Amino acid sequence: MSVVASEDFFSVKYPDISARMVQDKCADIADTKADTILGGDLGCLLNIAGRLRREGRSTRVFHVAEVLAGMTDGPAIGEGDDPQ
Amino acid sequence: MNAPVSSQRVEFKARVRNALSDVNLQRAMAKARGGFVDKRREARDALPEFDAIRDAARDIKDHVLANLDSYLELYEQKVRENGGHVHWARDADEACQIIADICKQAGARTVTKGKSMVSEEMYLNPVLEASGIKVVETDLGEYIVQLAGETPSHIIAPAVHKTREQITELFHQHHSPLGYTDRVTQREALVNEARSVLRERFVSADVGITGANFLIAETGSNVIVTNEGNGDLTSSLPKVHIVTAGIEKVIPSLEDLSVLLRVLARSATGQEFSAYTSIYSGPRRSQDGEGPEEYHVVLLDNGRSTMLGGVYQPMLRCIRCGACLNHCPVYSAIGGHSYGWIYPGPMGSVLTPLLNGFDDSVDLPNACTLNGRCKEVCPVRIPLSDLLLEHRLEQHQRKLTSPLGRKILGAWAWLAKRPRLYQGVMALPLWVAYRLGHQSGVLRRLPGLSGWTESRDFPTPARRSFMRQWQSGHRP
Repeated sequence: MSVVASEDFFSVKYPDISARMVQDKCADIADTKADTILGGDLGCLLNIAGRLRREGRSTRVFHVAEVLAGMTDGPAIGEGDDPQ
Repeated sequence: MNAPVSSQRVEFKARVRNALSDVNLQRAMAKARGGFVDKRREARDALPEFDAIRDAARDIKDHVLANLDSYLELYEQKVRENGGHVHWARDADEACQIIADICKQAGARTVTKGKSMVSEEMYLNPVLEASGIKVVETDLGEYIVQLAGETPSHIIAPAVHKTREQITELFHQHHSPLGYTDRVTQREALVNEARSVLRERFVSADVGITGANFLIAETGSNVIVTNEGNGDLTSSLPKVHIVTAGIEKVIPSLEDLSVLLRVLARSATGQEFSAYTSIYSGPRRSQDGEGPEEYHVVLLDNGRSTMLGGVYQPMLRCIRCGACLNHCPVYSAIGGHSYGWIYPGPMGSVLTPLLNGFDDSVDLPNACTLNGRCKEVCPVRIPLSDLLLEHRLEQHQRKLTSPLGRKILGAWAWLAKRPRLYQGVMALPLWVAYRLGHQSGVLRRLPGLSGWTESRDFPTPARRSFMRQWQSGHRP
């Protein structure tokens, strides 16, 4: 996983740049056909998960710690209470 | 104080908006994006000791910066011994004046230029043109940018923001009067056309101006690396050769050069070596058949010496390879012109406030996600993202940021230092966000955060925070 714009409120201060970056990132994610994305930065993960949801994609997004703690049966980021 | 700051902010944001909606720019940038990165990675992987050489390169530069005065004096002495002249310029205006005077003395009507970012920094071309001199850029990218009436958008690939179709049109427009009436579209044909137009310029030039990748103290030489050979024709054909360089370009010896060259091309273009690496050591000697009769070096300070001994000193290690630009997702999205001055990308965001003024560049250190790729790839290990944080701190201390932003940051810092209170205060908005969004998992709108929700949803927080679960003894 490489870089996404969200660190340090970047996405709020420079929404145009951040939007372009996360769109490119989500297009790259879609190209990989991965069903789950892991990351280590909460800002990045919120950003990616938020964009994937907005695009209506079902790719699941977890923090690495959630995987290590065996929590992937529960909801991923942006899936709410109910994992379905 | 506030007015110029806010107007500058608007300018940056306006430039960014234009860049993001510029179809040609976005096409050109998308095409360039992967190439540089992949090539550098391949070059690095093919050289197992690459990281060790980076350390050595950093150490050479650090050693020079700690002894800059002695190396500059040695360099000057050697250039004089070789029959050349050294000129010291405190700022851009002085440098332009010195160069204009040399050109005038030489009776120059045409000047050819090799690629030189320092000459861009001093706005040299308009000064020379104002005194009636025809200035011809000879690096292909610089030539394209000059025809378009623009400035470089990348420090090693000046025209990276242009599509091939745009270049076809530019050439057609400017070369038709010279007899090149066909519209050429293929890459090789475009290069050949530029080459044959430039050939005549090389031959007719009275003065050649180049930059320098390195200045060698022990020999009084300047070194340039190019892939087009244009630097060599610029240096050796005209009767006067002028080298322009920042004072930080000096290195002790040819031995050091061999270390730095091993990281430069690999970091820049992924080549093991550039096509041409040329070392010039003064004017033609009596036994030489060719070469310039006069050799001048104009050394530019322009704020660099004020960086010595301070937190930003590591920035003076920069060898202008462009790797930080190529690996920056922000640069790749908005292109070089959005940054507003000569040096774009991470290195530019560190340098511009220092060389061109803090007040006019408030956005630059902030328009960065702090992902750190620039620092990871820098061949001389400049901690670019740390220096950008340094700038943010300095902006905050100098009150260059918005008063509201500073108040919010201050309040947040106060709160964050009181964990109990922090959790208490955050509990309510988190609970509200949870209640509103827990069924779908996201909020589609957030008051005050429309910058976020315009283009993405906001994932709702969990019912119980990690801290709450931990405190109540819950362990997964």
